[in-house]
Amino acid sequence: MIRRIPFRVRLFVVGALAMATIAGVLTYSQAALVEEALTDQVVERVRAERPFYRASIASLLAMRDYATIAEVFEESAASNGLAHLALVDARGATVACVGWDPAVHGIPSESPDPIRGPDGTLRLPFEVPIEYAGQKLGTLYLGISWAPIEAARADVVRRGLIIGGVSLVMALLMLEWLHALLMRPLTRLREASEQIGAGDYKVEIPDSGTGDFGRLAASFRAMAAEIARRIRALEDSEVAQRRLLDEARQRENLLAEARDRAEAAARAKARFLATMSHEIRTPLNGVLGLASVLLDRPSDPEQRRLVQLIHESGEQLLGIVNDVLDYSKLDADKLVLDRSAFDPARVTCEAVEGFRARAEAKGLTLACGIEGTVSDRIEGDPMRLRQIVDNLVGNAVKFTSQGRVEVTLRRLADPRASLEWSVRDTGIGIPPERQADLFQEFVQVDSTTARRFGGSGLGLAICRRLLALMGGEISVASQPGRGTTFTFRIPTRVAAEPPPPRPAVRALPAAARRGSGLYVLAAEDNEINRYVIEKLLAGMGHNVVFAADGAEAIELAGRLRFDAILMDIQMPGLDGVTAARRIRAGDGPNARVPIVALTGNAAPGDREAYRSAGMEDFVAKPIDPDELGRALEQIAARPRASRVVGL
Amino acid sequence: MRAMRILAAAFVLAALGFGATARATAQGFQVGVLPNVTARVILTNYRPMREFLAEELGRPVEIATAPDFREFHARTMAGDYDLVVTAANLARVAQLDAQLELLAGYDPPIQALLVMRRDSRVGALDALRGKSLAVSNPQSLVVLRGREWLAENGLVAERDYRLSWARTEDSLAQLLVSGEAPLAMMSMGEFRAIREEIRQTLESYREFARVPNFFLLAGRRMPTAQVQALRAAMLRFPSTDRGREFMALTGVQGIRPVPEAEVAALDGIAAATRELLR
Repeated sequence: MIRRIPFRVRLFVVGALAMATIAGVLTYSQAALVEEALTDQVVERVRAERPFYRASIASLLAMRDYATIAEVFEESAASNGLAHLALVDARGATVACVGWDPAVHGIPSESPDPIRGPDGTLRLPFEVPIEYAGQKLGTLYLGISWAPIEAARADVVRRGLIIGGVSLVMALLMLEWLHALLMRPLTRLREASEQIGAGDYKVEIPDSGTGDFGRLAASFRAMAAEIARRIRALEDSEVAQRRLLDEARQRENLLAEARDRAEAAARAKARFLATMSHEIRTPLNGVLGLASVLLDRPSDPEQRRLVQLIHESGEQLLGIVNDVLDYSKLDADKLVLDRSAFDPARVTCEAVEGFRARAEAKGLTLACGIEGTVSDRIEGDPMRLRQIVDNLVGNAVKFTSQGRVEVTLRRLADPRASLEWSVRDTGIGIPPERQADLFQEFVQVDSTTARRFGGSGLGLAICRRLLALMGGEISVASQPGRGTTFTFRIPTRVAAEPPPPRPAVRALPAAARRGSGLYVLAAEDNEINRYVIEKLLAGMGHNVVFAADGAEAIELAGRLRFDAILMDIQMPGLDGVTAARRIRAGDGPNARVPIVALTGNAAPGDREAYRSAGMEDFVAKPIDPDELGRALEQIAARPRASRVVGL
Repeated sequence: MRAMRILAAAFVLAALGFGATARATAQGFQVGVLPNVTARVILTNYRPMREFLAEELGRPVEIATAPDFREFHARTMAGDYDLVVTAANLARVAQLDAQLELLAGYDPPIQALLVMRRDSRVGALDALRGKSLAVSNPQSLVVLRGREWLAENGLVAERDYRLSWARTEDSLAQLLVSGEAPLAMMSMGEFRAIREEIRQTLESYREFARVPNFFLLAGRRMPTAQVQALRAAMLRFPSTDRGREFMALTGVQGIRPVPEAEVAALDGIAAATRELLR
């Protein structure tokens, strides 16, 4: 409420109150002083006049000249401001009185305070004993009229009020003047600050002299100028930032375009590689499959030798193609590791066993050993581990002409429960200066090595990258002419469940292999592959019906009953995954028949997709006759009634 | 009960008022002194007598006087005073007319003087002819004897000279100082009562007579024993310290009984005195 009252009014009210208080106090004190001074003056006057009263009245009293006394009293009372005069003789009889009759009103004894007379007026009573020569003649009672003192006091109060009023008016005028003097510059500064607040930094602040307000105005001008300068600097900076931002945005757009182009190129490359891989591997599958068919047939040694060479060359070519495909996936961060339970010792030794025939052919001793206790169920990607071991053992066998190749698996006593593999050979060794670049892409020890031993030069680089994906590492120690030891280690975690058992296909009797007699639907678009599959299945004693694509597979599966379905993934029209899902979703006679995927690029994510589509197993292309046989034998081993998928 | 209290309080207040009135009626022993000098001089000079009498009488004593001889004599005749100290001729008139008891008289006789300004050149009484003779009280014995003496010397009042009346001795002296009157007629007591600084400018031209001093009268009729006691006290007064102080102040040298013959000698001017008092 008070804050709403203008400052000027508040200032005036406070000032007026202060002045009124001061004026009141001063007036009151001055009136009191005047009264006191006048009273003292009266008392002094009476005291001074007492001898006169005594002298003048004593004679008259001694003479009993009461008439003269009465005359004197009348004249004195009329002219001396006396409110009363009363003379009482020594006997106590009233001799003369004016304004107060002691016989009627009593004796007006002396008092420091005024008393009220018979007529109601105030008077200060005095008592003057009239004595002369020791003789008490009487007592004079006189009352000095209080009216002049009251009038003087009233005059003081009146003047005080007038002075107070005039002072108040002057204070008002001075306040107005002070307000104009003090507040106008402040008001101008406030208006200027409001203009500045509104963004007008060019506001004119008038000069207010050299006093405090002048300095304040000067400071304000300097502040406004500084603000304006900083605002300009900010605006300039903002423009510059906007320009930089635009440039950055342009660069970002360019980068995004470049990235998009790069990603498009990468996608195109990946598609190209995948396509090329598929396109290369499809005929290669055909070559290898046909070679396998031929190898299973009786022929003369020379022909067998030729077919064997064809098969080996095909496998080499397939290895190179697989390396290129893996590398392209790693390079594009598209390679995803599988996470499943497996026995590392078994995977390692199976990989080593895969090279036994080749090692023995070169007269090498190939050994696989386990040091200490190694868990038989760890979690990881067994296929990629096998790929690493294959690569290193393959290299060791390849670059060792005599002596031995040893693979050792051990568990390290580190917090990550790492497993360490070492592949040691007694081969040609690697010069120290080449060891640092050994794991780089497309690097081989030297050009003569490449010519002599072949290879893509990607194997070790892929190993390094795969180990990096697994959180592991690889190192090499070698002495030229004395041999090389590759050591890699990966952190492991024990799997919750044991790895699935893998029956040894090769252990199956041939009668069993040929006597299962499964009735198989094979969906394969490539004619050569269909021929290879037909020959392989026939060799295994199975009967096969082909579908050229997914749609035909669905049609046949809905019409005929089969023991198993082999489903190529990449087919024109309806692909294998869709066809398998529809067969499973339908209510045909094969809705629960085992489906085995045939694929050339079965990444872990792809396998999951195959499983969710209802396919329970897969066989990689190019088709390994043993792997295909094993998959079909697992189906054949089931009772006929249970050859359906327990979905 | 409350009404009783109010009545009691009113009675007390009334009693106090009555007390004040009662005090007002108490009167001291009144000693009337003829105003041949100013009242203040009388009060001063008669203080020892007042104190003496207060002790003797065991009651307050007041010295009183009057504005003039005529008034004083009238009060004397009216019995306003208990003790009257007055001029011998006035005392004789009061004795004769009011039967006041004569108690005593002052000694010595009064020296009747003609006083002039010290620097004046009054060589003979003729200097008065056609001029004014300053007197304070025409009824006083000094003036009456002086007028007789001037007449014996060929100067008759209101024929050869005028009488200028002055109220007090100071006023009398003032007539001389101002030159209004070349001579003034007064007693030695009046001359002494003139203020010193003025008196120094004056001097006695001639002592033309010695008249009886003031007489003391019992102012009212009182029992004889009281009169006798008062007389005895007054006769004893000069021998007291206060009496001696009184005499030093007034020039009175003693208080004595007045012989009958001396009283009778005043009968000659009684009539003139009565005439002047009218």
